[in-house]
Amino acid sequence: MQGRPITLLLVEDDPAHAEIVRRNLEDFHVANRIIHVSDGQAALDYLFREGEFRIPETSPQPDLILLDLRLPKVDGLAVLHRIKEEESLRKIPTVVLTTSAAESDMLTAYDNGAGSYLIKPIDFEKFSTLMKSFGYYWLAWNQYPF
Amino acid sequence: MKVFSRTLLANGMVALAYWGVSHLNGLLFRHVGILPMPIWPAAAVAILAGLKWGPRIAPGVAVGSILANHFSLGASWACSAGVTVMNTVGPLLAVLWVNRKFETESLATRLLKLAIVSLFLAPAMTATGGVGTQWLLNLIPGEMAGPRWVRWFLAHSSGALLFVPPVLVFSSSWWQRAAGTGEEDWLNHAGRITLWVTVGLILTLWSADSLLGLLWFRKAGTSWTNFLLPLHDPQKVLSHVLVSTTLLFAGGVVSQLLQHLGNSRRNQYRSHRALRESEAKFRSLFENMAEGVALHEMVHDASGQATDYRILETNPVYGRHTGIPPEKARGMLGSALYGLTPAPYLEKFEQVARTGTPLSFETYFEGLEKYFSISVVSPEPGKFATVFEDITERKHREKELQEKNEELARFTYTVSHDLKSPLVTVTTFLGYLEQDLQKQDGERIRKDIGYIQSAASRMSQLLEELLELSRIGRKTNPPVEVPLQTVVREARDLVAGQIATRGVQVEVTSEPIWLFGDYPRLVEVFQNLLDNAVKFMGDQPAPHVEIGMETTGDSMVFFVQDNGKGIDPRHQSKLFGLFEKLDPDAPGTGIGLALVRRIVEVHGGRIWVESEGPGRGTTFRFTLARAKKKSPEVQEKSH
Repeated sequence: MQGRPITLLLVEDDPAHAEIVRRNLEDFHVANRIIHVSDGQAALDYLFREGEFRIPETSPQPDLILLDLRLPKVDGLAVLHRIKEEESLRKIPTVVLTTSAAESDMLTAYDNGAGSYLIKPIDFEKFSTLMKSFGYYWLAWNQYPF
Repeated sequence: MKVFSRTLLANGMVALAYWGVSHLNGLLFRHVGILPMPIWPAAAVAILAGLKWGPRIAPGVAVGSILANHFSLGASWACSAGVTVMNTVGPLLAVLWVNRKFETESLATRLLKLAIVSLFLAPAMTATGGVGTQWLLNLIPGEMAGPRWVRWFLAHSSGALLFVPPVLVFSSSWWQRAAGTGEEDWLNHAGRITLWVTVGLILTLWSADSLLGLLWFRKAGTSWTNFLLPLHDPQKVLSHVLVSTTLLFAGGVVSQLLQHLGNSRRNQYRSHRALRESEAKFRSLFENMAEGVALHEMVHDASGQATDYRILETNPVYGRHTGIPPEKARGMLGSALYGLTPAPYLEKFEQVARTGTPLSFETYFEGLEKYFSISVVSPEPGKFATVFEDITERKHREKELQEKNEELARFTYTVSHDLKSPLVTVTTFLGYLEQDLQKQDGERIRKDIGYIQSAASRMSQLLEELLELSRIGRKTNPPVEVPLQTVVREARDLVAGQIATRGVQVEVTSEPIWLFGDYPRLVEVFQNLLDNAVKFMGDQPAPHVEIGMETTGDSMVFFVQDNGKGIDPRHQSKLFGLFEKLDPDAPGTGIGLALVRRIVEVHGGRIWVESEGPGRGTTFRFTLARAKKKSPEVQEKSH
């Protein structure tokens, strides 16, 4: 089990979906820090500490990134590519959470260093189970490099 | 020169053969004092020679006839000359008649015609002519002309009948094929010479004692013993036989030699004609084929390196495709003609001309701005022919199709994702709603319903807009010509509310520009761009939008320029994508610019965006096919 709280960067343009993620992860008290940004450019700005995310104290480096693919301004795959290009960010596990079941998206995501690829189910129970499993695995058991 | 000497030789041979066979008969003539031959094979010689060489052997026949009539038969010069005219003209006219269709007819028809000629036409003419001459010269009394004519005719026709058909049959290619020997077979030639000699010998002996002769001479009132060979003088018989057969043999040998020469000349002529015919066929193919064809030869430098190629010939389609007329292309160097150094595709062409291995490729030829499919073949080393087809239209269609396919793939991807997304929201929050209703958590219930409602309305909006997008280009209004200002005015009216609220100054060019297309769609373009400009004005204190046109080269470029928020250059590529929103918090689904792009494309134009970055304003530029600038007078006329 994790001994410290995990910081999760949630990159999700749909506020409803962000709410779903947040509600499902409520039970995992370890995940007391969910940072939500709603487009690809904001995600990059956060990770590269640019603009409003310049101060490390208020914008700590995340332990885990939960990334949607279809995003405004810069799409998820491009964000992923930039993260994995950057030495200081490369080790942050990135989980893709998307509605896209397109094989090309999945392959490109893995090629760009995605740690996991999850498809949002159109089913309340399944989505809940998925998010709970995600929580147990990534927030409770997974070991992080930082 | 060669032809002349050969003609001379042929004439000599004909004269010799004519005289030779006549001499045999002359032998008899001397004994009877008149012209009572049972057969007159000299007529056959004239016919055969005419069939073989045509009218040009007329002098040979005439000489032979003079020799025979005057020298062998002892007729007077006047009589010989008169008879000679008919002896020459008769067979030749007959021959000309047969020759007209001689080559193309079947063997049976040819033989039938020859029989008619041999039996009738030529003998009839020589007989009437001969008798007529004698009658005119008072050599025979008038009352004797009739029976003598008949006798003369029969002699000529039986001679021709005996000689001509067998010789022609034996020398026909049919016989050679049947015998399984070729024309060059000397055994065959030797066989024919033997035949001639044998016939001559038999004739010499047999004619003397012929039953036919017996009958005719009886009719003429002479004793058959009169024209027996001088059998009492064996030496004389031998000498006559030797002279006649030698003459015949000589004629036969010369004839064989000539036939041999004639064959090779005929073959040469035939192959020449075949070549001409095939050339004509290929020429017609070359001129009429749908592909452009050009024949070239390689040009090498001193070291043997191919440096260029020369155009030898081009067909009319080449001219149509390239715009270069054949007479201009002919003889030109590829580099000079196409204005490119090295000449286009030199390496590929050189390879084909050197190795002879054909090559096909498709290429975009920049000089002509066309796509071509080119096949290269080498008809002989150092030369090559290009057969090419203008595939520009096909390529454009392929590219268009590819773009359409990509667009469709993008569209499907986008739609499936964007429609799935609200569906996920609806199903999930329905689940939460159920839980929250059980828990009677009013706050959460309100939130759940809110999410469901907004997802459902977003979905409905997406569907409506998709439908709208799909209508562009599919359902069109009749195209009209309309002033730019009219279109902009209507667009401005549609977004008047937003413009007024934000206090945006809109400036429109007063240049007389006319647009052509689907009026409501054109309005939509300006409406969306205006709406966009107003929406993303940011905190600009003096909001301003300018709508105008600039001429760049040949094309008119329209623009809608604002001094609003601007767009980060990094995100400009996504701008026209379907349901792409640079600002997730901005109202709308992000279909506006996709719609604008689609309308512009349907109107044969393209659209792009220019912005130096945040805070520096945005300019949308686009072209529209068939837009025109008109002077007021022209405007008047067009009304």
